[in-house]
Amino acid sequence: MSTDQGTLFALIGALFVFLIWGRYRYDLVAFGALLIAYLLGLVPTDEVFAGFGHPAVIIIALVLIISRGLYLSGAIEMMAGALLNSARSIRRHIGVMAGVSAALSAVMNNVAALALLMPIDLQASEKAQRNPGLTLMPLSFASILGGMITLIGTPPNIVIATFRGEALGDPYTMFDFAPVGVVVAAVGIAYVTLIGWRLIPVERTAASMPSSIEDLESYLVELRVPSEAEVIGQKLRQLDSQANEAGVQILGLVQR
Amino acid sequence: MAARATLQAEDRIVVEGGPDGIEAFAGAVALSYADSDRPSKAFSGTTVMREVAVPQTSRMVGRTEAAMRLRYRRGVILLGISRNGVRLRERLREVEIQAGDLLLLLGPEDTLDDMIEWLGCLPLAPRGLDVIQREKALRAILIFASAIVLASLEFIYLPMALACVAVLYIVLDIVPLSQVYESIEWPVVVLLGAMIPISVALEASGGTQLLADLFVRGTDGWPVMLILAALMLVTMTLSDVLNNVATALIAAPIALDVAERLQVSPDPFLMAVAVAASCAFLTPIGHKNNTLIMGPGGYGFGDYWRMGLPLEILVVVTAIPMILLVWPL
Repeated sequence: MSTDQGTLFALIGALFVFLIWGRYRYDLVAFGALLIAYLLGLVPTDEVFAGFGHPAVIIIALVLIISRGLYLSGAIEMMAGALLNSARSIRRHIGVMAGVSAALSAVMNNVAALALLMPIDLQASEKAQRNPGLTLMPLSFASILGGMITLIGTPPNIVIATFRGEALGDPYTMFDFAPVGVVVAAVGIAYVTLIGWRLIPVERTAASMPSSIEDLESYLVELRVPSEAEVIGQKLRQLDSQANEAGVQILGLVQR
Repeated sequence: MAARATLQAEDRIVVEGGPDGIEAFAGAVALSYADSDRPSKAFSGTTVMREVAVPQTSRMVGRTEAAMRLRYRRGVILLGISRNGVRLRERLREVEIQAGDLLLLLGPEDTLDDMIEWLGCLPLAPRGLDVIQREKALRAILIFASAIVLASLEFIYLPMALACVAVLYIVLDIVPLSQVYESIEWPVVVLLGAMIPISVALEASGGTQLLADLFVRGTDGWPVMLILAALMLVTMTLSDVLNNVATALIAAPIALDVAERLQVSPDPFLMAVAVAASCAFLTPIGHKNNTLIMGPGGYGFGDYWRMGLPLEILVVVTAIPMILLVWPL
């Protein structure tokens, strides 16, 4: 092993440790590693910032703008809205949502696709009085699986496609990933729909569940006693009955 | 104990409950949300309440309401925080917001949604279908689809096709100019731009070859199927704890080198890395989407692998025969 190799392995090892540790955000860690690599003479001066002109960087940025456009135009909701209704059984609901989620992630950013479908899924859970935990993880996994279908579906595919172009002359094209991606995504969605959701360790039955997602999402809120309020002079516990009626719990009092 | 305390003006009552319950209680007892001594912009018009989820990319992550001064600067009131069953002990304004939190926000009806977008949070209720402009939606789909078709038929270089779509979206006001740069996830851009030269240096120094050599020697005499499976397992494991872009950048050159050493086509190896780098089903930190659902789904860190591990195995088992079928050695 040469000195350069040894130093690089040490640097990349440290980079991984910092990335996994997560104390500093990954962009800062990576940029710091680049600076150190330059200072150690591992990256030549004319190549330090060459990465920023790389086609993969441009594609990732452009795909995000396009995702935003598809989202803002309402195009995605128009398509998604037509396919969804909340009266399905949980298995069919997961199957349909996962399919839509994978299809959307194939052509747009995964996070944007999930952001779009998550509220629809939460609403369906509320109507069906289901724990949203049962359907959200399948939805998220399906969005990740869907990204495998096209070049622009997920950043790793963009990286691999452009890497092939540089190393072997011909980059992968838009649908080169599709034959493998579609089958893997389809098998993955079938698993998630038929078996996967049963393995999620959350309460399943509506009986042991709060009646709506709102009860599940319990917020800590500070309420102010206005200067002209009727409750001034009352004891805090006198409010308990009203709190019970509204379904909230009084936790404490912060006095000035 | 506080239950015996007598209520005075400007006291704060700390309650826990769902958004509707809190609103009902505040209404019944005539309590309010904000400071009256400094009337905020929020109370000049109709105010509405929204629940939002905080993704990793939100500008609120790692900051407190007190530091952001949301109320005074933006007219948005942070009413409550919900964190996965964890009871928060600090004052609300002093709580450091984390990815996966749910927030209850109060603000003016006409600007709250813009503010939520500016904060990088996701509203937990779908937008009404009435806001969709049908023609715009169809136009957006048509432009995108034709660009993809043209690029797939190799009439036009893919990045250029995407650039044309982006420019058209801006010119046709599908994406307002003010949101163009906001929509780009700069941390990923910086990560990629910084990692590419490092990955190139690893190749140039012979480090990639060294790792590929180790890998080939470790799998000496194995059938190609098993070598592919080993490559996928290593890549997946990296991807579960590491950013998937970083994983792909390091693993792709090694995969290529391994293929060259075995004197087989590089495509099955690159495809295996592509599939494996995208797989992050074991933890909430492997992929942004898994972080995003953590709060609304009520999941813990250890809840993901039960459904995720069988899925990762299934992906390997499905992908390898498919890859060898579509991309013969």
